[in-house]
Amino acid sequence: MKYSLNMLGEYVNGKWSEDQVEHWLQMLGLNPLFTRKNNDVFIELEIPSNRGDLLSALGIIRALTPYMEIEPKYPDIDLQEKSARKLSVEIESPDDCFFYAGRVIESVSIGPSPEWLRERVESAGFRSVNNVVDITNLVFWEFGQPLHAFDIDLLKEKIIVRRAREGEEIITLDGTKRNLCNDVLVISDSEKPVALAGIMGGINSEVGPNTKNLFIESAFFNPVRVRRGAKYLGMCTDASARFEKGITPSLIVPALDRCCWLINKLCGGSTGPVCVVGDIRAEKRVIRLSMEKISNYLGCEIQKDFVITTLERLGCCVERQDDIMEITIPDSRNDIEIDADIIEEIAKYWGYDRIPESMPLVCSPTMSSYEYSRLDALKDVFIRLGFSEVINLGLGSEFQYEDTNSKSIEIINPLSRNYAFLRCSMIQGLLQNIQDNSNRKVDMLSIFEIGSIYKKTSSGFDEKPSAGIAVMNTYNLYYFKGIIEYILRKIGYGITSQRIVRKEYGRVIEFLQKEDTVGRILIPCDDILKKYDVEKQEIFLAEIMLQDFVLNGFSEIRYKEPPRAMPIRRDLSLIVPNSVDWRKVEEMLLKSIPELEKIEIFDIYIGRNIPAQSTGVAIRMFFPNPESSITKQDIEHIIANIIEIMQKHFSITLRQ
Amino acid sequence: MSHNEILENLDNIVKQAICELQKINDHTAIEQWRVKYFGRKGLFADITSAIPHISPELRSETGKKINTAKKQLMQMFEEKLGFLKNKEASDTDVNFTIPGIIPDVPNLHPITLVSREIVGIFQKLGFGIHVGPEIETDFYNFEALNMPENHPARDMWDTFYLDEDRKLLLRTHTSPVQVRVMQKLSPPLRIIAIGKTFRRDAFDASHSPVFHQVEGLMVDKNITFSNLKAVLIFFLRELFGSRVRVRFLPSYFPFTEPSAEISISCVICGGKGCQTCGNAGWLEILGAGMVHPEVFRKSGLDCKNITGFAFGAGIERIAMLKYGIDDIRQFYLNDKRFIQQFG
Repeated sequence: MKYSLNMLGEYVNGKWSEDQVEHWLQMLGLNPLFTRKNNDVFIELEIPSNRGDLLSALGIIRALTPYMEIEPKYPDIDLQEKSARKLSVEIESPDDCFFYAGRVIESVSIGPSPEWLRERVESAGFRSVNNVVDITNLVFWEFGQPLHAFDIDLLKEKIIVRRAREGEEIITLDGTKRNLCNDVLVISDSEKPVALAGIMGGINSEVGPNTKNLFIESAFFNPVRVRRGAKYLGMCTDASARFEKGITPSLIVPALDRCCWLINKLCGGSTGPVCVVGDIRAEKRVIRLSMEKISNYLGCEIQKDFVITTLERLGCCVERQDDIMEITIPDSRNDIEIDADIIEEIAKYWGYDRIPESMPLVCSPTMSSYEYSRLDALKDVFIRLGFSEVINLGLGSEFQYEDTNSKSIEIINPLSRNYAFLRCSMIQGLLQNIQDNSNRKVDMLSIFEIGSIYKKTSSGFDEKPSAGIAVMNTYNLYYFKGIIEYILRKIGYGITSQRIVRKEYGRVIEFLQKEDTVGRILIPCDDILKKYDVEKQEIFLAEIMLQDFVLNGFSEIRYKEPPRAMPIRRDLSLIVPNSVDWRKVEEMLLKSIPELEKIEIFDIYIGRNIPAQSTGVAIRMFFPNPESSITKQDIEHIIANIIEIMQKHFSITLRQ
Repeated sequence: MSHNEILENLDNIVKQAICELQKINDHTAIEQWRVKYFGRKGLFADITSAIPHISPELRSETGKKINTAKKQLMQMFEEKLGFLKNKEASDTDVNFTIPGIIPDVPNLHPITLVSREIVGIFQKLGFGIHVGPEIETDFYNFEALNMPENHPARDMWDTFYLDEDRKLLLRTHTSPVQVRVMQKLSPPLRIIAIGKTFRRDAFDASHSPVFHQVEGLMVDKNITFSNLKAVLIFFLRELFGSRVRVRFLPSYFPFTEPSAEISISCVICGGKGCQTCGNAGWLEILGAGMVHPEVFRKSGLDCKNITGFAFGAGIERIAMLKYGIDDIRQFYLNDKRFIQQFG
């Protein structure tokens, strides 16, 4: 709805200016948008979802009264009942319709609205239809009470407020056929639905040029029922938006009466007595509040006079009872339920900007959770290793680079098929990043991402922290593997075994900690490289499960004194057949040569001068310090022994 | 020449030679110097030729002195020569005008950088950092936040659901962490939570179905709206600079009462009005308020003796304002050329 300032002015006793109105609407947090046109100003507002009362001209004026010397001026009602005709109304489900009122008007003449009325409804944002419909909309705009006019001659016998039956349908006033279900509340006659209660009328009871007799409805439908029906039908109308937020019970009949009076005035006819079913909930809402509570809550003193005046201007009734005020809330303000709601009203009208700032006094600091601090610290480990951080949405399509026994979780109302699943692996997103960057002519990339992956398990949905790592043209496999092994060690994982698994999307090196796969390296196959348009690039990806790390943290740092004496060190350059399991070589050497302390690999090369199916491996062997009894000759002897063992058991030869 | 004359003369020659050598700066000059002092007709040859003319018992001593001086000068000469050679060589074997090669420096994503900055500010105030699951239940995302089923305010967050009963969803805000923390820890407490949130919004320059939020919560006896203002003004001034102005206006959130919308004076135009702030001079940056008693109740806290405030903000929005990024989609393209700018 829109509000013309000139038109609003007709409902105000007292004086205001455009600047004042704009300023105070801003101070109320309604983000007013003022548009100037033809000597008038049109105001659009952002109304919070709990403030149904602000969806009407009188409601807005009421909300401004504490700021200015004005009062809402209620429009004239001088209805004369000149006919005795009534229509029978039944409410089948009283939980869905608390109150229903209506009047019959006989012998009206339908026609275009007079100029003044047409201008008014159009400036309020409605389309002018005819005099009767325009009057219902004008009164809706004034009071915030949605009204509906039926052609009573098109109704069979009576009005029934009931749930739609499965399979029923109705063509609404916008010309759309709607299939109904039990969630939708309808107004029906004895045969068929004639309107969607609180949402929109039906074409089968529409007021048209030939209509003679009317039935005007003014009701209080359950906000939840209207909301559910509108949601089911995918509709949102001015009326449904109003009903969803709750209407003002005490205005239901006055709005009906004003509407009928205006119709009699403009379209003639004689109005019958009011037909009423149900009970307007007249329970008084009383909230008790002390001045002390207000100042404790806001952190500043506010004068009692200000509090009482503000509340009274808002329509509350304040009874002073020593220190505790008893405040009766007007039925238009269904958003005010507890004392904090009243404190908000007072703070609003006092002005948030006038409340002074004061730092809270120190209480003991709250500890952080490990999950945040550990994952955040891990990012620095990756940065030190030369990897840049990426962040992906975490939504993707169905095919993912998962391990076989997990299922990805589907969103039941996705935006598009491309974003319909939650990722169950980091790999897909990283491959996309590689493709995107490669397309932008970035030729080297080392990236990582830390985030959640999600899997469907037998017990439900599972969300776990994970790290994804990807390189393009920056590392060969062995260096990449070294980085992954370093990280696994750094985050405290003791890798007990590895295995190679072939998948349709490539070869995978799995790192196991006891039974659990805690990390994987993926060497994508050519098909995948082709799919992502990166065939010529050297690409490796990896994923590390971080759940244990989040629980246990980084591997503990324990100082060990570096050996004071220079160790004896010997290097060998080897040609290792690819069929050899290197871990077994190391194991055997360490077992059979007691003097050998450790073996390190310091270079790996493939290609020129290395026979096919073999890898060039440069190793460095460490022997304990020379103060022990080993002599130079001993070492030479041991080295010869090592070479022999490797030759004999593993066909490893020395590289010339 | 007498013995004494020779020695005096030698002394003068040495002084003069050192003095001249120090001033020499090129090869020609040093060669002239060499000829002048050590050439066949040089000054040293001259002085040596005088030795036979002095008394025999003093010849040996004179000769030694001349030799020592000669050695000293020759050494200085060699050093100077070496220096000149190096100097010339180093001027020509490198081209110092070619620019250096900038290394490929790894960078954190700007979301992480801004998050860390925010975390740093609140850690100064003793806030702890907490996280919560991204897959949430209806209870934590809505119900515990005072939005029972069919509450109209639920429309403020268009939600991705994961089951037909609509009980499991992707959290639409980080506010569920408030409830989870209050269930776990008892007051006094002050925490912030940072993480991914999801809303069923199609991509455009200012919307993304996935974005990040920071959430804050402080609960104790006697926490006031005035405290909320002080903490948030401190936060915003630390983040955007001490000159930034902060505006508090009423707003509506079901889980806070009173609720506030907080704006800062536009960081681009300083409040005069520009494209970024839509000529308003203000930028909305935070939603906040005093914790609604119903949220305490749903979190299992007795709200009689405690009050608290809570707030939330979008990390992308803050990053966009800080770095002048005009399209939220940039954060999720993960373009190396984008990420590298934040090193």
